[in-house]
Amino acid sequence: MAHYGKVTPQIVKRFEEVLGSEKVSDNPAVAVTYRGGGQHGPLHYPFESDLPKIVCLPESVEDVVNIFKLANEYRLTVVPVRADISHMWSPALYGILEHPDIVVDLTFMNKILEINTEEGYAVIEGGITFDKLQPELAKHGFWCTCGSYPPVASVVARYIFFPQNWGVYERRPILSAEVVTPTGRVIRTGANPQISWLPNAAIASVDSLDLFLDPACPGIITKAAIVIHPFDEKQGIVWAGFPSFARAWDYLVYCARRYLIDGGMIWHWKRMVDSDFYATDMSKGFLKWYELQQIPAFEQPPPPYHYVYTWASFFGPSEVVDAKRAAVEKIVKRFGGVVISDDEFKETLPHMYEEWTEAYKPRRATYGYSRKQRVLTEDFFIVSGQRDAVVNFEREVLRKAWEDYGINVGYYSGRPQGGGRVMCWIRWHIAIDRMDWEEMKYNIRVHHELWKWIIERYYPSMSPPGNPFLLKTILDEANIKSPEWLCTEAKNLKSGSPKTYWEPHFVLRKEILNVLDPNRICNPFGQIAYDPDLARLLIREGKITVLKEVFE
Amino acid sequence: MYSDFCKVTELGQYYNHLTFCLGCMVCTRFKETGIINCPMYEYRKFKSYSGTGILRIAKAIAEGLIDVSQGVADIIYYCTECAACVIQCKEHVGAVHLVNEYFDHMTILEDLKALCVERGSLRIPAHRNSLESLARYGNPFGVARKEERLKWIDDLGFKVKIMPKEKADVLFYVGSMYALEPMVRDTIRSIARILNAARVDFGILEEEVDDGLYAIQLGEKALFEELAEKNIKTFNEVNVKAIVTPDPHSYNAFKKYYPRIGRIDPEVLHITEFVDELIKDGKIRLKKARNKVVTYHDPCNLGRRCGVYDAPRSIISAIKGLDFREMERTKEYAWCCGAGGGVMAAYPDFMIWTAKIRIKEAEESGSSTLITACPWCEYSFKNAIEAAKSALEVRNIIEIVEEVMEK
Repeated sequence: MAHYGKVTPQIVKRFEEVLGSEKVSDNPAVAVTYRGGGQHGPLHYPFESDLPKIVCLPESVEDVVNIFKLANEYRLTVVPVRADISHMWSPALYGILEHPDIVVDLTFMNKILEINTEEGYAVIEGGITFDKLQPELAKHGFWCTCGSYPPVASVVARYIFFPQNWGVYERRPILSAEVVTPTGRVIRTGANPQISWLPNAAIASVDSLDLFLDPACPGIITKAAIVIHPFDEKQGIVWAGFPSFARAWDYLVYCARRYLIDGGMIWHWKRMVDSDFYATDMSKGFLKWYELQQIPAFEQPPPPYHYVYTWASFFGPSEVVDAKRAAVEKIVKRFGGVVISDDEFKETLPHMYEEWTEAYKPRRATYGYSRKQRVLTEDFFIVSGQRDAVVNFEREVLRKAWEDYGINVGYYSGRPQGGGRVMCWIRWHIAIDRMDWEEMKYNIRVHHELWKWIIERYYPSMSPPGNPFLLKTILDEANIKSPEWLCTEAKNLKSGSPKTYWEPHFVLRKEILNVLDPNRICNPFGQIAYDPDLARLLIREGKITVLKEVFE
Repeated sequence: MYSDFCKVTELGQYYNHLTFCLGCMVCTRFKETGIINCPMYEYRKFKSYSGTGILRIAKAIAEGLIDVSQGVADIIYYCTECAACVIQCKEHVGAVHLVNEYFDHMTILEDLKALCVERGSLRIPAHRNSLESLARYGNPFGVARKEERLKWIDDLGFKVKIMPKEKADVLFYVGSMYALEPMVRDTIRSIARILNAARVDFGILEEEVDDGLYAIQLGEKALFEELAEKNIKTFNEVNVKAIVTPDPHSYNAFKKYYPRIGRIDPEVLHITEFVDELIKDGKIRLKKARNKVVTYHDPCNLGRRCGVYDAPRSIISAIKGLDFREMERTKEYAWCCGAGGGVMAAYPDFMIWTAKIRIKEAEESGSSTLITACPWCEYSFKNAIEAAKSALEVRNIIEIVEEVMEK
């Protein structure tokens, strides 16, 4: 596989001249730590990528701009990484460059630029980590959501990939961002939305989701304005039961589109009610694949249980939470559901009540990890597609794990996404408190092999989240027609890599917004991200610049 | 999965365990804060210069991705072997139990260094000289004459027993750094006076051999084994009840490394443990007061590596007038002095940079005196104070005991 550009000692020297020799390394032993995007998690990276040729440690936006300019000059690929870069569950699994030339480690762009308690936001550099930000926010009586991230996780990177709040998912934790484009231009862009499989992701949006680790690396986020919360905010949760998936789905989407809830999930009754199934799913006692096939996924539950359970979360000052709760409970009834009170939940689903109150209690600690975990890893093989294809995938993986390795993989769920699409998660737990050392070693080895097998076999059909609707709108308005890949890097991808799947519109999204007031990071027009009509209008009026050169 | 090369090395056996590292970089932190507690990561800033980096490098070598090259040596010899990463990984990584009694970052680091030596990748002149000196003279400082080691007893004013010609209850194992580095040599004189005043029947070895820890820290395992075997043989032959050493490096070697080679029959104690017992037994009386604000720096080899935290603090609390204040990073979370792992010889600038940070911390605690119990720390701090033009005073705990005790 030939590289587009080639790193020579002279090029390394140029980088050293521009950035300073202490910020540049071409030592392969340094590069190994950044391999595969420097991903965190021993079992979560499917790619055995090449070693980066140069690692850079920028400390300012100017450094990042210079890196891109040099990369363009020598036609080298760029992969940005941050303090941790844990990409489990994230699209980055698909997005890591296999052949990186330059890795840009933003760890030391770690300044907190502003904490605005009046308007509830903080402006931070891209390398800021939770363990650095939380104590500073705490001095002002504020915190930012941290979910189950490690404390050394980059706040911006994690919010981009996996926005979470109170242990659930939050809309728009990033209000806006400063981005250095591959051309070395600094732009400021709007918010990122909910990730796509959540109900309110159906809202049209422009997002910065892929700014980080796209195969084509369309830019690096250097600063971001993020939402911060006062300590006295409250969380409200409404549990409800519905007789069908469709009603539950419509209810959540209805609430989300009206900003009544910040997160929501749907659970099949089997998962909620059957404690044996739940225990099987969550522990070592896996069912065999053929036993799993016999579970009647769509059978009706015995009374008094509901066919599906929904969980909706919202937060804010207590009066807001109370008002939202009242509204959401009314909407539950309108969609034919039943609100489940806390007492009823505790009585009818005691095992789940315990789990949820523990797992989803407010996490305000610096550490996302709230307890020692008994599970070494759980993998989510996320496949999105038409139902038959996904079911076949599940079966093949389960069968292979069992027949080739004698491993029973915990089956989790196939989650309908609307439009006939289903997303499949397969969970595989390696329980560190229940397996002996040899068993763990065996599981880990098999895990690696199975991962490779899955990636080789299914990679092209794995689906990243996307929002083609608004993209198309903006591309039409900007008169950009079916462009090829954005950046030179894409040409380096080998067959079977994302090129075969990733459509241009998915990549194009990143560069499209240049928000009205580029000098104000926390802009009031983040709303544009949710409003295609407004986007169209602003493009026509020339208030948003689409950077055509990036697409050409 | 791993390369043929590593199938026959010790790295190979760790391969599966190496995959456990999440790469989360918590190993670089101070508890659950954003404060970086790994000197080499703070100094060099690339992720490779960290506990995670060491494991990733080892994994890459095991997979045949990179070779044991000069580039590897350039990174791993920056590690001061303070083991702060081990504590962090053990205590603050929620998801994975990476560290156990057989495996930690230091185990891997030492294996990597051994590979560097074996492959000829260790090209740092200072280290090569040290190893050569250790092999030839039994100390890493290039001191050829064995009489040099005993020079410090000349002006004590009383006779010290020389073993094995003479018998004694306690073997005072001095250590190469104390015996041969003039900047810290006063401490061993103080120890001799304290032991003499407490009527301890002690002696020193006529031909003391280096503890060998420095050899293993530079990657020369065979030399370490040779030195350890010699020492174990001597220790068991001199027929003493206890071995007391003031050097935490020697203490660490005897307590944690020698058991891999052989058994030492006598009890091994650090001087702070021994003196603390003498104070508690009333054999030493600390009469005079010292009205000072002081803080204590936990040497990595004494604290994190061997778990001795209480004895020095107990001694400090027994000294009248001392206003003792802990620094923010203390005990198992103490910031390193920067001198360990061969850094003192190879990267003196980095050592002083590291020590300066500790000096600043000590000053911020409001202390005028920084107490420690390790010659390497003392050396590093004294150099840093000079470089920083700080007014802070660095004292070995034993010297203060000698000053205030009833003679």
